[in-house]
Amino acid sequence: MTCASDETGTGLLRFFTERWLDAEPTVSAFIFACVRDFHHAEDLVQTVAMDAASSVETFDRSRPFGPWIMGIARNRVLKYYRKRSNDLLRFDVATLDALAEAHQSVMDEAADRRRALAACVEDLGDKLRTAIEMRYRQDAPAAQIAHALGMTSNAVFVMLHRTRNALLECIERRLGERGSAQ
Amino acid sequence: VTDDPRKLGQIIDAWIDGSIDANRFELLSQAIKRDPETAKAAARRAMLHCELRRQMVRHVVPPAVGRPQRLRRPPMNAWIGGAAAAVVLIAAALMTAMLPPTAAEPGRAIVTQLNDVTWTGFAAGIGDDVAGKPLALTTGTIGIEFSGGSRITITGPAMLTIEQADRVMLSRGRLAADARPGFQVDAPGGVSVVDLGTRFNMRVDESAATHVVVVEGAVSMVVHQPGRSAAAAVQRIVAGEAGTAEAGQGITRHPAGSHPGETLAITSHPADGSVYHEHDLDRLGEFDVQNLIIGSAAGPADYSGVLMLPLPDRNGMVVGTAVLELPVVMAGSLPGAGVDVWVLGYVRGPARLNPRWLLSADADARTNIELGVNPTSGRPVKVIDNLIAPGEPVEVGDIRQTDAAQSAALAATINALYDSGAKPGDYLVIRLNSDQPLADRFDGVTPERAFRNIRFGASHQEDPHRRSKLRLTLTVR
Repeated sequence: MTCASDETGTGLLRFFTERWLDAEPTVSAFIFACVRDFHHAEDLVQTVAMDAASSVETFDRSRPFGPWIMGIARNRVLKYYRKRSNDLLRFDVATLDALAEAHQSVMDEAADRRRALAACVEDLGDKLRTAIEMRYRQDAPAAQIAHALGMTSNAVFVMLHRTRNALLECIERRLGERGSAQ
Repeated sequence: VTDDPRKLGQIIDAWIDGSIDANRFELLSQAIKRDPETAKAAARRAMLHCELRRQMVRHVVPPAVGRPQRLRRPPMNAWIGGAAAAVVLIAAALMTAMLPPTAAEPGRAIVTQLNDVTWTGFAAGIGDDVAGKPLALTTGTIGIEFSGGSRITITGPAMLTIEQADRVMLSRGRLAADARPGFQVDAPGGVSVVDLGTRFNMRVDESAATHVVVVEGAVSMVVHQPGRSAAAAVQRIVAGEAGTAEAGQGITRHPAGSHPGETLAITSHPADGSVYHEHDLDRLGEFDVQNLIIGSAAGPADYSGVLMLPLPDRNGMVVGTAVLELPVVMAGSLPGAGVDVWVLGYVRGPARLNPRWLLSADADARTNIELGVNPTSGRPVKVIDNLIAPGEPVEVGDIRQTDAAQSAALAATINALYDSGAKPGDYLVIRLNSDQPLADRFDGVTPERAFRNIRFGASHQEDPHRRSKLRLTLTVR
């Protein structure tokens, strides 16, 4: 009996780990899009994973994992919103649902987009790459990036925005090329 | 406004960057509710933001094409996903608390070796998975094996975080890596060392400068600085070469033979002190709470000072020079007798003085076994004759130090000990003794026969700067 129990536990662990690692980037993106405070968002991602891990035994494995995990994430964000009812900038339930559904619908794209992004970042020029590195690697505020690059803060916001646009276009182009090649 | 995809992108970016106002936030909310395609666009942009964060943090050198995929833990210093991946391990612990960890499992970093470690904070044990954990050790050595096959050894004092299966952040201390291609060690100031399939040694000093010596193969040394592209600050360091990266200075590459190697200051263990022979009672004894006494003192007795120096891990290198530094803590001179320096051999811990190590003669024909020094049966080696000449006075504050030839001879003797089986953590035993007995002439009883001795600083009662030290330089063979 002990062996059977261990096998079940190991199998569940493997199932959960594989599904969670696939879904986690999308879950994170959803939560970080809904919760502006970084530390709170990180806590929420942790909580979602813990919720899922503790209830994975009840999950019907014949059903898709994405909607289930996104449902847990959506509920956690709602709970968070209720606790922080004084926050001015928070999505209403309908927006939250629409956003959760949108994330769920693009979850399957995540791995391909990630790989494409890695290649697109390589193609960035020095200045854009420096700005992106400072923004994301060093968490530098716009003013610091502006100082380093000899620009105004507004110009940095514009440059970051354009860089993101360029990266999104590059991702779409690479995915399109791959699709047509197949 | 939100019907224009580019305007929508601006609003989403403003939201993500934290610069959105209430009006535009409401516009964004309405657009997401109204149009599923707008919601998808927002989701894709949010994913881009998250992925940029992840990829920039591990961007130093992208994985080589065809490199096998592993279960990777996102770096802990990433905003996004670090905690989420950590939760995988927490959840794993919930569900399989009894499954023993092994380094063969993806994402693992298993402690395989602990030698005399003193921890600050979290204390890891043998077999513990320390992936994602910050580690701080004040003394000792810890060995970690990664699931990808890489191995590292950390020597305290050191602070580090195992960020993922093939990545370490070394904030301070020494690290030796026997690593697989792609293994990466980050250091303060945006410095990264990426293994290209090699063995290398790395040290982050108190000024946060990073020093790397490559023993085999090659590494890429990268420094990230604002305004400087990664390509402009990458140096390939190959076997025999060294690299140094200091804040704001970029990378300095030292070709083979042009760098001093890695220097270590080793302080004698507190078990050091003096051994003696009491003349009147013909009795041997040890005095491990005393300084290093050479000459005649209370008993009356002849004294020898003994240093017990913990041998470091050479990490694939050899000892190039060994400079012995002996601070004088009590002035004196030895009439008619010089002070010699002998390497007796090495002993395993616990460190303890042995009275048989005493000598008050110019030669020592005993074997190590007779002296109680394990495991060789060789003889003690006199590495310096007359470090202090007969009758030469020394003053408090003087630091007696081996010269270049003496340091080279001492280094050769230490290397021979390693070659004969000495391991890191064993104690190198060095004796300082007078080459003539003095207690029969200077018994301390009558004024004209007052004790005559010289004392160097030992470790248990002197301030750090007055303790005797051995400064080793490790170089590539």
